[in-house]
Amino acid sequence: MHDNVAGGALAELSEGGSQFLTFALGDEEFGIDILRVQEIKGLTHLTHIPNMPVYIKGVMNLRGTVVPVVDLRSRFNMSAANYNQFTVIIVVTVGQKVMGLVVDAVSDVLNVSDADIEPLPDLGNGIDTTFVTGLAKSSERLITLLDIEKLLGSPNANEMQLAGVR
Amino acid sequence: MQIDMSRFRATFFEEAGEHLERMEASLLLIEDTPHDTELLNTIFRAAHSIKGASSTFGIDEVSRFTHVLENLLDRLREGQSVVTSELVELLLRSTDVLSGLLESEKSQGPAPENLEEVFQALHSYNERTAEGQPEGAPETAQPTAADVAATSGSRTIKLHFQPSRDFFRFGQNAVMLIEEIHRLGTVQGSHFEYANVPSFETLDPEACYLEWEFEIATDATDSDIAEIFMFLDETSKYSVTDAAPTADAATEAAASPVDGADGTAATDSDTLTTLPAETNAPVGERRVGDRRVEDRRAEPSGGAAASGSHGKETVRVDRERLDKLINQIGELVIGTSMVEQEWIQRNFNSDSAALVQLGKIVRDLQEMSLSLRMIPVAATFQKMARVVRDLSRRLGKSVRFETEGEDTELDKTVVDQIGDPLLHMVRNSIDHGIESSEARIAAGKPAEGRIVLRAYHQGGNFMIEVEDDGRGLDRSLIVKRAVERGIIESDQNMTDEDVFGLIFAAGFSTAAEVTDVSGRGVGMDVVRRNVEELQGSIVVRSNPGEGCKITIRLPLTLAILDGLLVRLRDAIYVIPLLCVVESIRPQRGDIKRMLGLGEVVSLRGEVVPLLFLDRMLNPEGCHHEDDTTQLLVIIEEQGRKYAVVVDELIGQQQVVIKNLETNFQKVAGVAGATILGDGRVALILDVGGLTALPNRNRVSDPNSTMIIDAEETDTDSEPESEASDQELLEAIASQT
Repeated sequence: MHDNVAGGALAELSEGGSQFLTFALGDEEFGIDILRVQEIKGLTHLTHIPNMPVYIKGVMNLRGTVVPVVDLRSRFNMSAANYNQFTVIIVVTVGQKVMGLVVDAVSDVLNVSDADIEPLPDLGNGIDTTFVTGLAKSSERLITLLDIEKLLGSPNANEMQLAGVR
Repeated sequence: MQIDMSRFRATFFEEAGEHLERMEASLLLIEDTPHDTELLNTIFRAAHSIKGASSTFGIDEVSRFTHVLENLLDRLREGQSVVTSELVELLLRSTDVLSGLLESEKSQGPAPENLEEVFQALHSYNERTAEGQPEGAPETAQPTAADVAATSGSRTIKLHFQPSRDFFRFGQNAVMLIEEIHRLGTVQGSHFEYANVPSFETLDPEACYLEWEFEIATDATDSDIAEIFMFLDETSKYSVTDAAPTADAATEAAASPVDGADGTAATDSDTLTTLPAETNAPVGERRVGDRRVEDRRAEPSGGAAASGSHGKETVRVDRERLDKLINQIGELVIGTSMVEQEWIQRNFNSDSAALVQLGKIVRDLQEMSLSLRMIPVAATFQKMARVVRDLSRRLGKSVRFETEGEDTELDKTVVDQIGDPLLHMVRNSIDHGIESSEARIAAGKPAEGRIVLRAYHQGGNFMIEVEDDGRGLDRSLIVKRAVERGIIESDQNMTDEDVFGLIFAAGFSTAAEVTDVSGRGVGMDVVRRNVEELQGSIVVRSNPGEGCKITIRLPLTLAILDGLLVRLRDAIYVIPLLCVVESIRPQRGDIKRMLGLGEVVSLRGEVVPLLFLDRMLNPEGCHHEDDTTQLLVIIEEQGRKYAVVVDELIGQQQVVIKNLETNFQKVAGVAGATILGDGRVALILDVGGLTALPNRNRVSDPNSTMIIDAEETDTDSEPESEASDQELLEAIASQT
């Protein structure tokens, strides 16, 4: 059902490109594959989950489903920001699972042709690059494209488990 | 047209499983009533449907096996051989092989080991009976209408076949059908009707406009013919008329159009299709023969065989969809209570009659939605019947197996999980409980042992009992073994129930030697753990020489839990009510620090360790410093008491359990989550997991240093503390 969100828009898209939802964390802009995005919602009450890495902010009630919420700032070891009225949760599907991502703000939906996606140069800026699929250029902006599966998928779930056991 | 076969494959496996179950159930019954043709027909139909469906799906191994099986069953049905105990054994093994085959097909695993062996056994049985016939003359079996048809000998029939317009769109193959018709006997004449073919402009190239008529000399019964058309789509038609020279014009009129395979025929393997009631000709009469048998069986007096297939009408629904519906209704309940709360706040605590009404409807709806997941335990009981039969034979014991209340309904998840514990309990009863026939006669009991499996509802619980009339439990032997294995030190102050409960301890066995049936001391431990996982409890009652009764109490559903809502700081937790003993407000001096135990509270002389939820669940967060304002909820887990420190008791409430693993992962100390009336998520504590969390013992917890210090100053200021410490030490000594 969630795959339908961008289904219509996708049809208009020329071949060899994809759509990304872009969002901001501090001064940086990131993009995730829009087909992964189920919905965007405002910050809601989060219930803390014990013995989890700090970036697991807790679980929320998404219309009767209990959904874990990851703070992407702390996932990327960025300085924590206070949650404000622009803070939003992007609800994404990772495999069979549904998760929420806390980001500073959602920017827009971006059409990027494959030609405009460049592999990541060696940045050395503290961001774990295994989750990055590339950099997208859009006029003056440079957007880091994230692989949501690698970021939150199964290998990382193991990491969470380890962190949980501690 | 592209058809997604994988979708149908899942249904095929599901249905094949049901057919197998029905087959097994009927086989167990037929052993006692070998002449019951209705049972035979049920078995045959089940085998036939599996064969038909498996060849449709190209699962050749299954269809090859069922083909031989079907031949054998056909022989039985036609009275060419008779049902013997040995044959039932072979047939039961065949069902095992079949289920193994299906399983291996499903999981792409290896085929069952004894496949070839059983296959050959079936094959040789067929050949043996074919040569040495008649083993049992047809007359010995009760002749049914089908038999009459079968023995009526050669005849000439007119078969009219009229495919629907959409025949090809359904993926049907007319050539295949016609070939099969040819195999019925000698085709003496055929006629091909193309009058319905429209003019070229209006012709739909994918539609079927043709009809066929065959004149065949055949021995085939009408059900044989019906089998050819078994998988016909619903709108295609065929009819059979006798073309015997004696009946010509009259039979023409009697041609009874038979609807193509209708719903029942396709799924139920009912080889006969529904017929109009006014069928009048002899042919029609013959055709309804089997159907009549069916109808008789459907009557209550018709015996025990009518399992399922003729009950209420049912709809097969994907479980996920069902769960989604239940979820949404749960949401509706929460939404409604939010509206109620808001109303009360805005309208100065006055009720709205309409809202009260709405609330009631919504809660009724929720109750109904939860009942959707309930299924009867009959299928599970059925499996036990097979276990009893096999095991009692193997052990050379004579056992009668009875079931009561097999229609009792239970949440599907629970039903799926009670199979294992029941199996162990039944095995235990046969192996340890029931004596040999000689011993029973010597003890003045009937030679045949008796095991009763009983299910019923009591209060909000589901009860399931395994009762046998065997030798019962030997208290002194249990105590002796338990002491030997270091499970207990002595049986002082232990009631019979306590002692009998020891049989569930891990590694406990009174069997003198380990056999392949039991004696490893694993089985009953599995029972206990499974039952505990299901939030249930077990009671054992036994009288020496008279037998033993094990009663398991289970919650009706795993979807709802009776919980105690507590608040600790700003978080709300749910403690399962089942393990809550009491709650107390401790006095200042009641809480002490004990070496190796951390903080404890003395509860009427009993030492109970404290569990600090915030410390265990949020080791990094800040902690309470003022212990005196707190409440303690005393919980019991596996006979040990713990005191959970909370700030406030909110109340007792039924909560809908949400699985954390669905979108996340298992969390230590947390059994799941639920959504509160205000839409917030609350965690349900897993008491067993909580007590096993590593930082329960605060000595190894660096965060607690400050609290220890604070407390030491506390105890210094209290003069009576030494005395109570002494008391505590004594209490501990007496406990361990």
